[in-house]
Amino acid sequence: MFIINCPYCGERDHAEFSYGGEAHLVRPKQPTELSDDQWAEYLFMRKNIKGIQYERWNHSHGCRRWFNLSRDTSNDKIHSVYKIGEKPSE
Amino acid sequence: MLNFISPITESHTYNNFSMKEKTPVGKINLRGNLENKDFASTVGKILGMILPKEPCSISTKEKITCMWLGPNEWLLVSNDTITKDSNDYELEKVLFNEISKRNLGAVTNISDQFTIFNLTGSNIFEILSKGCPFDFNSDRFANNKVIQTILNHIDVTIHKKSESNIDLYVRRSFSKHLWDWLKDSSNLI
Repeated sequence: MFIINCPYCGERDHAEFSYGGEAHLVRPKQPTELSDDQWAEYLFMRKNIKGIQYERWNHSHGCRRWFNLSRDTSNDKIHSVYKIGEKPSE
Repeated sequence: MLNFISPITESHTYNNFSMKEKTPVGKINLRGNLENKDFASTVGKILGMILPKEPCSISTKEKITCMWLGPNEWLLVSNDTITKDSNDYELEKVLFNEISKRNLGAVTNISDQFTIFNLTGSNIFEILSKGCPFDFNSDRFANNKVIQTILNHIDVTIHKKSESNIDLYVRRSFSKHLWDWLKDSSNLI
């Protein structure tokens, strides 16, 4: 069990949230001009790093808002929480 | 309420804990951008109060209570219980014409979506804590606050009126299940 600080509601248990995958992926401007490999790269390939990762989360059982956070995948420590559209602080 | 059939047919008391279903109350879900001045002033004029901006806060007027559900989402609850056999509410019509039709936001009548349980007693939060991850001792959860969380894996909205009196909003289809769970838990406290 760990606590997530929702930027709208404050500190809540992680059970109220759902995970939305890696954050800050940019959709290619012209998908039709990409090769299948490049498209698959954008669509499926994720970094899966050990260390600080930027993620999207949804407070699905609370205010139902999306936000981003940076989490250390090795120990689940949350370093920063910020709203969608904002840039990470570091 | 038109053809209202409640799954809850009883009230329950155990020691000093008691719970009962509140008879149908008009509820409206309101969405819109508070930073849009047109929306804020139109709603303010209709309701006669400013929509709460602080997380989990509530503002009240004689006829209506307005609860914060998200930065652009509110729940308007009638303070009167509805006795007439109709699903039409004056407020919904006014809001619909002034907000929805002018594309300022969205107005949805959700009167029949939620069932309200009124729980009273000194140990309510002890009972809720058995199935809820929320920290009820938190400073943020003062009187007259509203939170949305999960209780026994069911989505609920909890309106704390005082230390010993809360309203629990649960989707109608889950209400019987949650009722049985609460009944069970209260007997074990």
